[in-house]
Amino acid sequence: MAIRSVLSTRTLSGLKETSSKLLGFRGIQTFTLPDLPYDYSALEPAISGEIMQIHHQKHHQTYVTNYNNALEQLDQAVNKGDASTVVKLHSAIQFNGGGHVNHSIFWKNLAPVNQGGGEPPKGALGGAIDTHFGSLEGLVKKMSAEGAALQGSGWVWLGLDKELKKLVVDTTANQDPLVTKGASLVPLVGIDVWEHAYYLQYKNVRPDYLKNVWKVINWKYASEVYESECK
Amino acid sequence: MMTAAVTAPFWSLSSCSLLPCQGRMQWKRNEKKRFSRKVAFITAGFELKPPPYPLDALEPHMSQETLDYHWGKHHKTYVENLNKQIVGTDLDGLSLEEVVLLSYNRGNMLPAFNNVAQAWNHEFFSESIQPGGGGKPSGYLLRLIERDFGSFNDLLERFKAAAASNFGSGWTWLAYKANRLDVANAINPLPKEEDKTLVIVKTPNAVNPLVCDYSPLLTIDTWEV
Repeated sequence: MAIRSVLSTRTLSGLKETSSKLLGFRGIQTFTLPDLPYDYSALEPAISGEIMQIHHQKHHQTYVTNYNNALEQLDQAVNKGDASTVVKLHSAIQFNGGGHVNHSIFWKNLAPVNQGGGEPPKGALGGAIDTHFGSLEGLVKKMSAEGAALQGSGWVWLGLDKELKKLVVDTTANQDPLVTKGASLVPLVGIDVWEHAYYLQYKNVRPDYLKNVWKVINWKYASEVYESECK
Repeated sequence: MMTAAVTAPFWSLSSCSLLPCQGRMQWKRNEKKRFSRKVAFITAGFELKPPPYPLDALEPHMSQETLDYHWGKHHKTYVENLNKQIVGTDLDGLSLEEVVLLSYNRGNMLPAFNNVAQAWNHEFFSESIQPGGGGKPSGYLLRLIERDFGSFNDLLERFKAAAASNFGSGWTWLAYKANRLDVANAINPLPKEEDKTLVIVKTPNAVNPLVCDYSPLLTIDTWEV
């Protein structure tokens, strides 16, 4: 069924199964907060431990909780044939589901310096970045500018357009995943520019956060995704 | 979440007319004259008005640190960037409200909209709250609240629910809607008394209800900061 295929997920570590709760007769799969593969303070000084802890344990956890609630309500509405409730739930699903999807990617996009954080991309992705943006510095400058100029809350992305086979830089509002900007877009690197991602440390100076976050970007993960999509 | 003082701004609701500009506040512009030897020219710039109370006056509900940043950095930056953006353009020399409406451009926002609307919103927000505020509204406003929401507590519950569900960055408003259809840029050709209602409005990012010709009464900032 179309709805059930949307509900499948992979967790961060891959070692833990996603816990599933059987609800109702058909049963829907619910989601859990993925663990971080590094300590909260491991990304300092680029991102403070305080921010990482609150961002993960409070913000991301709330998206997961509310997403599960929305899915449960969706399941009931679908079973009852309640079309208007199904439609009404779409905004909660897009927002909370998007929040879960985006943050799950974000934790993988970051790594402590001693685990390769900040190391420039090599191989196919490195070459593609040079082709499309001139150099890594060119890409960083473009993404930082677009991230700083984003009004309100949202994300700035480096994505791969699978169909056109090229890299793109784009932004999304609120918790919209990159795929809402184009069905063939695959997110490689996403940077959260909601105020909660930087305010406690950088206050209102989002550009300073965008200057420093590159020091902990995990290009190894982005390269893996790029190479697997390019096969 | 902080509770806002529910006091109506200085204009009287009972004098609302059928005209589009429902007696809203007119914002004064700060005029500076500069003279050179050859020519005298006037430049206008919006000024950053301080809140009508000291920055620590809202403790413990809102800390001085919050106001230092909210007013001293965020609001200040909007005003400064706005002045830089509009100097020498068609928007220069107009009132703040006029710039909001013109730069909204029927939804196809001009670059200045974000700064000017946020400047207006923050100034309005400063006046929506006050030390020693809270409590209940009275008089004509209370009658309208009871007519349109049932009771003051019902209004509070609906308002809190709206603010909590305003995803991302935005503002939540109590506004007065008179003789307008629920469509922007439309005027009701047969206005009736019942069309005049209080409404709760959720807006994203910098948008405010002036753009649909509502009269904002109070607002709460639901941006993360």
